Amino acid sequence: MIARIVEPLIGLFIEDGLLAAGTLIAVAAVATLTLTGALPTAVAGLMLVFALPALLAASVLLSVKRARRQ
Amino acid sequence: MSNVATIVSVAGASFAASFVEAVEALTVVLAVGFMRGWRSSLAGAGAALAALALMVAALGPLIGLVPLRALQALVGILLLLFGLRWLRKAILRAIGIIALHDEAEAFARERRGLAEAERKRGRGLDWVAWATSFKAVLLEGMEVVFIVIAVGAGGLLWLASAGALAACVLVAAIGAAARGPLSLVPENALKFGVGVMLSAFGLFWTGESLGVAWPGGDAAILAFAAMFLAVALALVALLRERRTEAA
Repeated sequence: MIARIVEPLIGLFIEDGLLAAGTLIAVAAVATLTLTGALPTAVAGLMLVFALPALLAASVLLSVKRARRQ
Repeated sequence: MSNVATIVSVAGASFAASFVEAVEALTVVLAVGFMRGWRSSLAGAGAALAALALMVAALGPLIGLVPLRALQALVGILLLLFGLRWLRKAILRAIGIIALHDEAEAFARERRGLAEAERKRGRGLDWVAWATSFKAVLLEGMEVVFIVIAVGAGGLLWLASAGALAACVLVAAIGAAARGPLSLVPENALKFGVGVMLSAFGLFWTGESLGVAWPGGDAAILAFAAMFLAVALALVALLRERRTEAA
């Protein structure tokens, strides 16, 4: 019963592994660069603004490609 | 952002997202009720609501103890994961790569599964019915709680809660009146809009947690929503066109 509840709970956030991993990596990279002072916060904001929609587009395009192959 | 724009974006996002979740929970509760009796179905749903209330009461006050930056980061990242996932799925549905979520089909599938279990049922309390309703309401309810906390994290928890409550009450009222699945709800359009809003909130909070001073303050959320919407619509238009050409 618990496993049947936990599994869909994880699925709430992670469905496409690549999109989830890409999001976490992008945020972690920007956060690391910002918190170490290597990146001004304004540039960090800009990077997030470009990276996240790009990740979404990449994930959709890959899913479409995968579906076509099948 | 003006007060009106804040109210519309927070309450609207919370209402629309909660509406979708409530429809999904209601579909299961109705299917269980029709197949196995209303007592077990409603008891399972009631127990799930009580469990949710307990969780919120126990964990809610802890939110105040978490440092603001950490809370913004956590909420921002979870919202991004949640929002981008919804948006990706809505785009893929819009271009026909995955099937549209059909509440009537979900209702029929749930009934078929329960009919199968009915044959194996012994005497006594109908635990299958109870557990099916409980699980559906608990899971969808947790999504609603998460959305309310995330969307209302900027000090507007009451507004997000009101939006969610209004959605749940409306769905329950429609369900009680219709006694059937809410298959007329344009779920993909709602998910599309909610995915856009949650992604926009997620981007905003993640940036805030890193100390980004967004131009225009809270109004940046609307700009981010417009950006995600434009990207999503462009993807739908481009990929639909390609599919048409391929056909």
